[in-house]
Amino acid sequence: MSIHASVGLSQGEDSYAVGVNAAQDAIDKLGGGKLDAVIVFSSVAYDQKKMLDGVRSVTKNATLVGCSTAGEITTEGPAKRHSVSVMAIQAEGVSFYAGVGENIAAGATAAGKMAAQTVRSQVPDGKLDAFIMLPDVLTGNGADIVRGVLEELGEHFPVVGGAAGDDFEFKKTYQYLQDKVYSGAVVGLGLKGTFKIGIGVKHGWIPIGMPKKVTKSAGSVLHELDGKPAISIYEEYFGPEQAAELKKETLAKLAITYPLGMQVAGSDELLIRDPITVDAGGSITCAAEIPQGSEIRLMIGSREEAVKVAKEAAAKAISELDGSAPKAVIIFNCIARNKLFGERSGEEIVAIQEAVGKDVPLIGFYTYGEQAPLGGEVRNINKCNPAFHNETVVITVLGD
Amino acid sequence: MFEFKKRVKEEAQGNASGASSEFVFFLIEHAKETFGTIRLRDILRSALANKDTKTSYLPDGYPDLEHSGRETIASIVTGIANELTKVFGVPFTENIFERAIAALRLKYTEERIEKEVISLLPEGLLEERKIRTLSKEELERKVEEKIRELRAGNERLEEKIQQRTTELKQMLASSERAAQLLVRRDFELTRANDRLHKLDEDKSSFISVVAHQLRTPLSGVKWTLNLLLNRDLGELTTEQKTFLLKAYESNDRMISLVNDMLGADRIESGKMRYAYQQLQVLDVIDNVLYEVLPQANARSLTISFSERPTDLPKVDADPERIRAVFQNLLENAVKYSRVGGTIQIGAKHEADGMILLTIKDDGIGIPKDQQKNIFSRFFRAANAVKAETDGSGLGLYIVKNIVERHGGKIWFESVEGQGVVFNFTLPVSKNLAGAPVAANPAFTAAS
Repeated sequence: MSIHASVGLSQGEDSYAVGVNAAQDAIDKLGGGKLDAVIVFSSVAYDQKKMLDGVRSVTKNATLVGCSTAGEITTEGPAKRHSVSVMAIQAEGVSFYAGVGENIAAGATAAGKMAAQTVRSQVPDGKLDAFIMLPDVLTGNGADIVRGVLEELGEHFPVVGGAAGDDFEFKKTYQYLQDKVYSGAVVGLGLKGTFKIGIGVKHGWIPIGMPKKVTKSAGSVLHELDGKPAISIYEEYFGPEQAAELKKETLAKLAITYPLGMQVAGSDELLIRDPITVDAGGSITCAAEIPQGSEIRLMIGSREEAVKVAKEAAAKAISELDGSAPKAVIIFNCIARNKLFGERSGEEIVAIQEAVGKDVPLIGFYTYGEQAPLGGEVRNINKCNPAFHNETVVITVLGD
Repeated sequence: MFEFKKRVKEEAQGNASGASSEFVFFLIEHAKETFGTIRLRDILRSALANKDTKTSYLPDGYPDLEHSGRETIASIVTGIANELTKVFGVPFTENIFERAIAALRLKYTEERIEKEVISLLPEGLLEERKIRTLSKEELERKVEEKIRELRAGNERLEEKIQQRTTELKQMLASSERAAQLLVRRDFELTRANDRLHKLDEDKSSFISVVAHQLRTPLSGVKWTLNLLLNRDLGELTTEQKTFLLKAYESNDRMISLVNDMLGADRIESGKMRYAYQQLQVLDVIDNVLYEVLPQANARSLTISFSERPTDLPKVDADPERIRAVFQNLLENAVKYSRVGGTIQIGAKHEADGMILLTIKDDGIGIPKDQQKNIFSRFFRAANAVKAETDGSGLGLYIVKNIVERHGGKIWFESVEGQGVVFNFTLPVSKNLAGAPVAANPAFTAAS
């Protein structure tokens, strides 16, 4: 019983060839044997179907899930430019089941439930051990998708995942299941068998100033705080001139450096909400829902702190393997963190690798939102409450 | 601690009646048994101590109850009640009082007892009995009084809460202002920092461009001077040759400065590439010495090995970079030695798998207050500047970076005016120490 994983990365112009090369790279490193699961992350710069066909031409019928991203991450660190990364997994004693929930636009909860259902229905005894989700959040509320998944799998279930990206365009993302490319869907990968899983979830931001009450909101659109236009929280702190930057730019620097935080039970850190766009009326569209009545605070942080907590999160995940060696690392890291770090985003991955070991096969991507239990709690299953995060790094490690 | 209060004064005025003094007698007798005469005397004295009514005492030290007013009697009752409660608790005390009242019932009517004795009881004691004796009006008055009391207490509390709330609000408001200020400052500093980073990058790339651009014409000058000095363009007079040599040296210094600048820039931008191979440092030293010797001879310096093992293991190093390290350190030793000085070189295989190299001179040394800056970019000690005007201040910065990139450490000891010892370490080659060198060293590590 053991997990073997390897990661391949490829860059280039021809979509099919890049798919083939990335998959072949992974397979070569694995050194033969039956392939149990394949995870694919790709830039939207490639023709998605051709790229996937390229990967499948190598990985054949092995269970495959994946999605488009806002930047790929591998054992070598964040990819410097458009690429395709592939993780090949061999796992004796672990079964993988994949499924999809389509049409998030028509019903996010239903789509989440459908993805989990199709995965679970394939399991002989209907019992899964962990679930990885890759949703689109441009067409629906990410928190609702998580809700749908949990409706099917149970309120307290280890769910991790990352929302697909499209290289910071915020137009259209893609999800992959076996040989098919979807959009506006959520793909799920269920794990069952003898393996250990550790999850680290942290962002490192701390709240500052007085909490403000959400007096009007709808889904992920925050209309009013304390009866004033939502933008007022930024205007009060930075002045109207600086705050106006949020109206001009998508996920502006100000929003990334000073996101909003929402108090939730079961997490010592506040749940981050990144303002993505701000309309003329001062309503803020966030990357995930902010329920009416919640209390919002401005968050403050630093790159140093962000790197520090990334390492802590990784160490926490490793500690949950109970001494087993980590065999594969999957990272869902927020695009906002990538923007915050800029050229230095590699430092964060290096810090994570200092904790997990720099040679452990690592795959991940920059997301439009992360899914993980609050505080990464998986030990005490009754306290395992998966949620939709922003500006957070989610580190999942698998061991025997 | 719980303590009974004497009833309001007007109720306790007037003279003691038979019933009341008998009641007190009973209590005193009982207290005597309980506390003893001496203790009881003290209890009574202290109960009466603060009374404005005069109390006469009998020869035995007890108050003269026969001639005491109700005020005194009431004080005594309260004093005994408090002492009993303190020692035995309220139920016990109430029990004693009940027994005293029961004893009175044999002699006095219930009405007299109510009127004369019950009013003596301190507040809080036997309240139930007292209430039973009250008329409806009195009862209502009592209730109202209690309500008033509670209301007043409540109001006091509310006032306090209001006050605390105001204080808290003020605190929160000021902390909110502080938060805003802090965020503003943080924002400004972050932005300033980003700008500085950008500026630093710009400057660095500017230096890199300038240095690169300078190299080409400097090489041209060197080539031209070479032609002249080699007499390729005709014979030179001695004077012409002397000046051309000076020009040649200056040009060489300029080239070395430009190279230093490029080296430092590469270190900062992480562009410095290393190509490691197995090599013998002693060979590198010999090579560098060959170049340095003319300068050393010109200053009549003696250079020798203090320690030169014949079996020194090889190291994995980039030959170019390691050469630069020795060149820098030896040239410094030569430059900052006094005429006729001594330079000693040592090499030693340490137990921890490192090779320790030392270069010791007896030159001008490094002033103590400037020692901490010696490896910083562009830093030159004051006495060094005085001794030698040329110098980029980049040499030791580059040396330190190279040594550390090889997995070694560098440090020095110096007393100003007495010279300096530079020590640095390089790890012994991981391939079997002393094993024959591969013809074409295979491992190449990118930076």
